[in-house]
Amino acid sequence: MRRQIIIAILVGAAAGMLAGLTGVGGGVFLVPLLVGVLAVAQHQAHGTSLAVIFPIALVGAITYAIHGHIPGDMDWVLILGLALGGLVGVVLGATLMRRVPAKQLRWIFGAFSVFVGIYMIIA
Amino acid sequence: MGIAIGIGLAAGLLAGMLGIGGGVILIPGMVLLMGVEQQHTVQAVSLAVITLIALVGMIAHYRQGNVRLRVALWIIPAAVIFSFVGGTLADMLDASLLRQIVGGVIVIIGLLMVTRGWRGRQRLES
Repeated sequence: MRRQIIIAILVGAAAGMLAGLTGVGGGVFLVPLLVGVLAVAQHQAHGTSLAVIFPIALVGAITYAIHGHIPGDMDWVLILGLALGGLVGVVLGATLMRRVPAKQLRWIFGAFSVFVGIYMIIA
Repeated sequence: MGIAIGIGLAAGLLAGMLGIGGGVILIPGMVLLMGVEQQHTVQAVSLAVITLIALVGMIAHYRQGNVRLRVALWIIPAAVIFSFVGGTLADMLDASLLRQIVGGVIVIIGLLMVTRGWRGRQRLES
């Protein structure tokens, strides 16, 4: 029990640091750690991961705003579009979760991410 | 607007199905498809959109009894402190270096997703 709490604190620190620094990241590492190390069932890991990501992202966004990285004159239509799509997508995704083959999904987005990441490094 | 909605939709779907935030879609989408220049702003917007996605996703999963609140509460305190630390560190870094770091993280995430896809299947079959 004590060991699990220490691991949970370390996992939280790592996920928070990564998300704060890059704006990406928490969940991809949180889900396997929740399942593998903290013995959370797979179907509960997704919900628990999102419950952790929510405050991480909120504090991260506020931190960036404090440092002036959400300028008042930015394209708010862009943010609105992303948010709108995101909200519809997440409800659909959570509903469809059981019917979609997660393996293929990870393969496709994993391969996609590798190429996109390399492009961001060299471009 | 159409492109933004499409990117958001893809990020949200991935978030809902895999339990991740969706930044891995949002950030490259903004950088490569929408041509947003300032790396720090891209990350700030990513986090703001993820906040909304994660909140709604969390509620959807919670209704189905799929949030282990106690485990989440163990993780959250250190997580939010280090999110602030990470965000402050990012503010000190040069934008082009930061973009390369993010690219590297996305590559690692991609490799992890590919290998986890395989291992996840193994676990189901065993």
